[in-house]
Amino acid sequence: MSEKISSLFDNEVDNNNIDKEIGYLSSKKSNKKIWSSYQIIRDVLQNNFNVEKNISDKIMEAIDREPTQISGYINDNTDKNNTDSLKYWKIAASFAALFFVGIASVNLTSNYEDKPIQLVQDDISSEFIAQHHANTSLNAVHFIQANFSRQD
Amino acid sequence: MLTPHSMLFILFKQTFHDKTKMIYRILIPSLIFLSFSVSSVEFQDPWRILTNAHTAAKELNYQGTYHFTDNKQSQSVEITHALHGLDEYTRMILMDGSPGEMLSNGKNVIVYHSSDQNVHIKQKESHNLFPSVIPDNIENLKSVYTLHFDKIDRVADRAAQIVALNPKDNYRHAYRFWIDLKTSLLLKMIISDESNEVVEQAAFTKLNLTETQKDLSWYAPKIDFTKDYLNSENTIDLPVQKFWQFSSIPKGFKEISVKASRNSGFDMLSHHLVFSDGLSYLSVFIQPVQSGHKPKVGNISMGRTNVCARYYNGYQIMSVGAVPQKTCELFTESISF
Repeated sequence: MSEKISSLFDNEVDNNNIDKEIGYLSSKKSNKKIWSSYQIIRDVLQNNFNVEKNISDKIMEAIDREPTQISGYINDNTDKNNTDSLKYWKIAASFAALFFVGIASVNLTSNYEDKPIQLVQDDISSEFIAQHHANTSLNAVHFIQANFSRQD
Repeated sequence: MLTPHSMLFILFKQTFHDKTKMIYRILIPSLIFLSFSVSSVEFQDPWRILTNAHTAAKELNYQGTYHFTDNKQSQSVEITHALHGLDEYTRMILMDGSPGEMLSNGKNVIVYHSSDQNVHIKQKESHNLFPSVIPDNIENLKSVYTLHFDKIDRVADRAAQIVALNPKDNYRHAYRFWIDLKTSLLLKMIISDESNEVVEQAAFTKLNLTETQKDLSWYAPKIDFTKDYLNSENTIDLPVQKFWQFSSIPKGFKEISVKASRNSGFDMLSHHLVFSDGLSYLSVFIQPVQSGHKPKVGNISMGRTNVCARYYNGYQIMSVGAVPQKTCELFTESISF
C-alpha cells in the first residue's frame, strides 16, 4: 500500500487512474498516517514546508524585539533633571544598605542571588552543547544527533 | 698539406661543433629552467593541495562509509555524494545507535532522527561536514597554520598524501589530512591537541568513485511507517542588536555567525556567536541570568570540548569549543559591554 502512495507522490500513477487511486487510498483509515507522513517528507524535501505561526508566536516574537533583563547591568537612561530629586533617596538608600550590610555581617549569612558559583558539568545546559554542535560540527554524527538532543 | 676537401671538412666540423655547443648552451639552461618550473608548480604553493581537496569534496561523485571516533563514541556513517548539473546532493546515514540521516541539496539541509515513536525532521543551514571540512578560502589558514607534506599512506585501499597543518600558536589544535593522490578527495582527518592526543578523527573505510549520476533515486530518506513523522520547528532567529565587543581574540578567528533566539521555557533573549579560523570552531553564548538562577564561573573540560563560564554585568557568558582551554578562556574574558 505504501508503494502505491509513494508512486502517487512521485507522479508515477497514470493520469486516467489517478482519481480512482486517490479515492481508494483515501477511503482506508490506515492509510491516513502514511499519507500524512509522505506529505511531510515530500514538502520538506521540496523546501515547501511552512509552519504558520499562531498569534501567540507572533506576540512573543514582538516581545523578543524588546529584550528584557532580569538581573545585573541596566543601561542608565535616566534624565539628568531627575537626578537631583533622587539624591536624597540615594543617601537614604545608602544608610539603609549600610544597615543591612551590618546586620548581614553579624548574622554571617548571605543570600545574595547574583553571587556566582563554580561551574560543574551538570550546570552546562545540553542546549548549549547541542547548539554548538549543530552549528560547528565537522562530522555528521554530532551534527545529526545535536539537532535532536532534546526530543523524546 | 690541407687539401680543399679537408679544409671544407674541418670548417664543417668546426661549424657543427659550434652549433652543437650553441644548442647545448641553450638546451641545458632551458632544461634546468623547465625542471625548476615544474617542481615549483608543485612546491611554489603547497597550499593548493587543500584547495583541490575542497573542490574534490564538492565536485566528485562518490559513495562510501567513513568511521568517526572521538573520546566518547565511535560511529560509522554511510555517505553518498553527487553533483547533478550544478546542484550538489549529499545523503549521510548514521549506521550505529539510534537511526538518523541527513540529506542536503545545496543550502537546503534536512536532518531526520528516529526516537522510540517518532521520526523528527528538521531543516538546517548547510555546514562543512567530513569530507568537505576544508574551507573554500584557505588564505586565513595560511596565517595561523604551517603546512608540511608527510609520507604517502594508504586509506580505504587508496594511496594518500599526508598533509599536516600545525598551529603557529597555542590557540588551536593540529590537523592531519590524508588526501587521495588520484582525486584530491579528503580520505582521513585527525585532529590532535598540543600533547598529541587525538581529539577527533574520521576516515573512510570504503570508498567508490562513480561517474556522473543521472539517477537520484537514492536521494530520499528511509521511511519507517511504524513511526509518526514530525516536522520540528526551528528556533526563530530574531534581529541581532550587538551590544558586546571583544578586546582580544586569537589571530585568525573571525565571527562567522551570530543569532538571537528566545530560549524555550523562559522569555529571554540568548545570543549565540560562532567564531572560526576555517577549521577550529568556538561558540560564545551570551544570556541574561534568569531571576532565581545562580550565575556560573570557571572552566571545565568535557572530553574534547572545553567550556568556560563568566558572569558579567548580569549576563552569563559561556564559551564552548573543541579548542584549547586557553582559547576558550580568552574569548570568555575579553568580552565586554
